[in-house]
Amino acid sequence: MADAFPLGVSSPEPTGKPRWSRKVKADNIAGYLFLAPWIIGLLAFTVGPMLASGILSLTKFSGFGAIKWVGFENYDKIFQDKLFYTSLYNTSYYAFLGVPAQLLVALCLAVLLNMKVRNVNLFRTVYYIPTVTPTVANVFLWVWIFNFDFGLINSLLRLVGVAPVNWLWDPQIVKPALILMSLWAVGQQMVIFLAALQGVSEELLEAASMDGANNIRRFFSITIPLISPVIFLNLIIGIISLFQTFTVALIATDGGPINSSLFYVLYIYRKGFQSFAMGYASGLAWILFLIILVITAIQFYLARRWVYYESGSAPS
Amino acid sequence: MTKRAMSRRDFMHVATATSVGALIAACAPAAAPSAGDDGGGSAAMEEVTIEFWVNQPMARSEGLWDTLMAEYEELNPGVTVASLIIPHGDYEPKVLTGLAGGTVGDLLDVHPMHNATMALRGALMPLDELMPTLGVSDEEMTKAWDYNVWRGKRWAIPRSDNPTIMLYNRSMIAEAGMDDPAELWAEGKWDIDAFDNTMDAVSGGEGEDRVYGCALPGGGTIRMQCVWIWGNDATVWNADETASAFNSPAALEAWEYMTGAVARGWAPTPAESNIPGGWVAMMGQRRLCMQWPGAQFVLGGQAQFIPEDVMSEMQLVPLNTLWNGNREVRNATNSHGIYLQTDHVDESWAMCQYLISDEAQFRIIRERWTSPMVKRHAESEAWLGSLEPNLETAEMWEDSFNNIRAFSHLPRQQEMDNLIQAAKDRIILGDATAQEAMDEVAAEVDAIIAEVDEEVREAGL
Repeated sequence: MADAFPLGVSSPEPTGKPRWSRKVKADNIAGYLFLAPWIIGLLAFTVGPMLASGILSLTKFSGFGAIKWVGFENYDKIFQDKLFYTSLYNTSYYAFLGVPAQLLVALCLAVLLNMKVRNVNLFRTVYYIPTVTPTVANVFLWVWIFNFDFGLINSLLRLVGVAPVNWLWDPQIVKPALILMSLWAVGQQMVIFLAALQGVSEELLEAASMDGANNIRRFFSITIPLISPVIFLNLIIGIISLFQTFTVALIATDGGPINSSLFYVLYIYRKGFQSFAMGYASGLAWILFLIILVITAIQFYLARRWVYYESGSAPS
Repeated sequence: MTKRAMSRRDFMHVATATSVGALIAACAPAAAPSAGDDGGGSAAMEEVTIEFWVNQPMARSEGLWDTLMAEYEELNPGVTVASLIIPHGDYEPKVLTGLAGGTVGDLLDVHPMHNATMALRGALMPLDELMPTLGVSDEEMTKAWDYNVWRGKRWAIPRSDNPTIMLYNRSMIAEAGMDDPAELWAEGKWDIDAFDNTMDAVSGGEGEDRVYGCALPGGGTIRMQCVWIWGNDATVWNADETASAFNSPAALEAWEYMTGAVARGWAPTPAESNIPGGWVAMMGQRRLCMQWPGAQFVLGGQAQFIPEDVMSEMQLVPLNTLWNGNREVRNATNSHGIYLQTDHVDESWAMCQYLISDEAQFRIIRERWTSPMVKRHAESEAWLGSLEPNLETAEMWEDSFNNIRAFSHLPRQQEMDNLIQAAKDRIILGDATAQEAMDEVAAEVDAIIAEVDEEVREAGL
């Protein structure tokens, strides 16, 4: 009689409520025990500190001495802080221009590396190497490349008679320069795009070709829609990542000139670990969290219009 | 009845439970005795370990530091020193984070930038009551010792100092057809006009051939820019350090001079000098003629990054006199203090006594890590014998020692400096006049000083 019911479910009680068998209970316990390390880690190292920072954001605390409850005073000060808006603007500029640029470059590289050419694996490795190079090393390299006097770019510009550019000293150019720097290490997005491109059905492309579609038409009408979920994935990850840019700003420009490259997380760092205004810095961090959350939610909402899932519906 | 073997499921359950238990045990606080705890033996056989947190630039010569610590341990049997070397840029955050977490060394290096902040945060013990047993009287102290005094108390003992003195490439100046600054100094003619003219003459070129005169005016921080402000009879803070004064008319003239040096082309912008190795690399490439970092900083360590042939062209000279005829110079006195809550005050103070003793100081002097900070050391063979004839003279150094003026590094100095440097950049970029930029930032800095004042009052300092 027990075999007539789904595995692990014993015959229902007269009320219709299934009763878990000993085996199912044992399985559940085992499952939770396996999950326990991760859950403990999540609670101890993510959720706990998040809650603590949320409470800290309502206090005045330097990391030493007494914690003074101030309510929303930190948030009041933040919204009157000129540098809050400056850093948010700089970060938004960097993210909203940098991510599309990164996606474009990564996609182009992936298309090239998807071609059947000799030694393509070597090329794939070469283009991925900057991604595994430490960020600090990359930044130092680019600071050298951008140097006004002897940097590679200005040397080439002088060679062709073009006036050199003050890449990291001109407030109007420093952010585009940092975006250019970020295009160096798009290996991760490139690899994800490459995997997606290799999953595009050859039959569809052949069928389109037989119908008279050229390469460009096939690319935009078939390939792009089919890899749109991956584009969406890279877009989400890119926005979240670039909104948290820190190392580049700290090493390349330290927020200058005139705070034109003062990024949000660098400002949080300064407030938290140079000024030791832990409550204030926690408030800044929570505002960033909410901004990223809202942007991500908007992206998910808009994704319904342009992301195509072969199964017919987006994941819930 | 046969013994039933453990099933795979049971094994997995046991393995999982064991793993979870191990994870929880690993997260539990350590029960082992921490460094510094006594072994529990009799008082006579007590072994003590003191932890010394060291700011890396002062311990770059690793052999020297190990030798000093070994000598201290010989003089203090039963005491072991565990040194933690921390990079300069990370030092203050590391110490203050450790303080917040309750894990700090017994002895802490104290750079002038950090002195007031560390004292305010409870990292340092006032040393005034211990000073009579240090072995150095007030009369013997050079002005370098002033850097460790804040709010009327002494918070650290200097170990090595770095009075400002200029390092320049005499070949580059000769090639530019200018008089040698050391000779001008000897004749009493090394003034602001001579400095300006020299800078204009040596700088020029384009691209890889670009040469700069001196890096400091365009870059730097307020603790270096103060020298020009002092040189125009102005100050950075007001008399009781409750407000900024760097936007006074006289100070604004100094700012205009400093930022004008970039416009005139002989000082690089911060971006132009932001290369691996910084100004040291630029001097080594003969792209920078003069700098004044505190020469010990170079001679004690960074000279190794300047090629030998270029180093042979170098010469030291005291700072030129400025507009008011003076040459008050800043000093980067690297010091060490005792953690306020340490359990090893006696051993830590013994370290302070040892490091300022003749034996230790002569060793540090010979390695060129310090100038004499005890007046009698200026006449020692260790100091006079360490000078390089083609580079420096004792008279030059004496000139610098006598002109040391302590710059008061307030708590939250770094935060104020970030604002001031952004204002200076506005002037360089033509975004604002000196008056506009400094007036605006002065108000922001004053707000920070007011908060600091409140904290200081609450701390009872």
